[in-house]
Amino acid sequence: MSYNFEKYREKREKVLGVKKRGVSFATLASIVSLVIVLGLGIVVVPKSIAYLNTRHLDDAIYKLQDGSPWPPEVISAIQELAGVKSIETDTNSSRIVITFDKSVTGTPDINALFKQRDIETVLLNQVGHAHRKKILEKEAKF
Amino acid sequence: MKDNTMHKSVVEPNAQHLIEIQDIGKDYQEGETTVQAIKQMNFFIDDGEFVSIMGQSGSGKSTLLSILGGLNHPSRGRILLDSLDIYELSSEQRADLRSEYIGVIFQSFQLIPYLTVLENVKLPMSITGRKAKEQDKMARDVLARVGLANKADRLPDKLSGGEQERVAIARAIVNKPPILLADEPTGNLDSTTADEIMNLLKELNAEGQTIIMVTHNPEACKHTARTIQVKDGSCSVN
Repeated sequence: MSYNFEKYREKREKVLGVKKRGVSFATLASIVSLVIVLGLGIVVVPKSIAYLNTRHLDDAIYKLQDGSPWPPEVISAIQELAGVKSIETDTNSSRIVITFDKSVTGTPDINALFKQRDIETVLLNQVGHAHRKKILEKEAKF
Repeated sequence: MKDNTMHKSVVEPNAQHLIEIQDIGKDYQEGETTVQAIKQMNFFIDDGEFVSIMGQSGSGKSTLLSILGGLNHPSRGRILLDSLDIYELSSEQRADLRSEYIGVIFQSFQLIPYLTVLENVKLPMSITGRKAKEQDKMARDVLARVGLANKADRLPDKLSGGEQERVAIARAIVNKPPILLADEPTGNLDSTTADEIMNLLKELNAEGQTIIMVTHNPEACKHTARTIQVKDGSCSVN
């Protein structure tokens, strides 16, 4: 029988240590691991960044003692306090949510402003900004 | 590390035969004296051939067989096996070559007495990385091929000489090596059993298996297509 060089190619390549064609198990395992790590990264990293960006923020929810809408000039005055990041009002402006940097200011400073302007207010709640956002997301689902 | 360079080990355009023996010689040092076990040999073996190497004790045929099997470095010359210059390969590559290309049937069978027939046959596959289930199937298939399917779970000492020889053949061919080296395969058998074994080897050869058989028995040579006569370290091809 004539000798055919191609007949034992696979055996010859095994002996010579020539790399096999196709994807090896090790390569496949590496790719799968990489996909899992990247996938987890995509999910976890933005949450971690969001947490780091908001962990120093608190929300204080106020209403006026008589339940009337908040005057715009008071809202502007609060906005100018150092450390206040934003102010949200509800639909009829009876409640405001003040988001502030708790390392710079706090409810005593805000209360002092109200006292200075002779405004009677009620502090309804003070929570972490991220925590309140989560509560809002849950409420939105309902 | 494996040497991936192919330029020295593969001789693509010049290789015409499955095995080419080119100017092989082997010297042994005995004290001050140099003994030439093999002076100079040149021959080839084609794919699918059944060749016998015949010679008297001390003629150099066993040395030749061990050189062909990649176990004994020649003092000079080279051997191309499937275009691989086997003694240019690293020792690791040569071990892989033996595993991939060469099955050996030993004269005294060399079966492991405390392993079953099936386990003996599976032994050469233990370094191939094949899955256990695949190994089991291949071993059972090859046992069926040599007519021992129903004796897979026996220990070797519960078998006759002929059956032990069949196990040795099964073990030698289980990895589907292109080349089967048989060292006096009928040396320890009575004439009837020897004929059965020779017929089995002929059947394997008819299926495409290249077989190189070393023997000192002219009767055994009658079964082969070609005989390489070894005498005093030289050879002639009939």
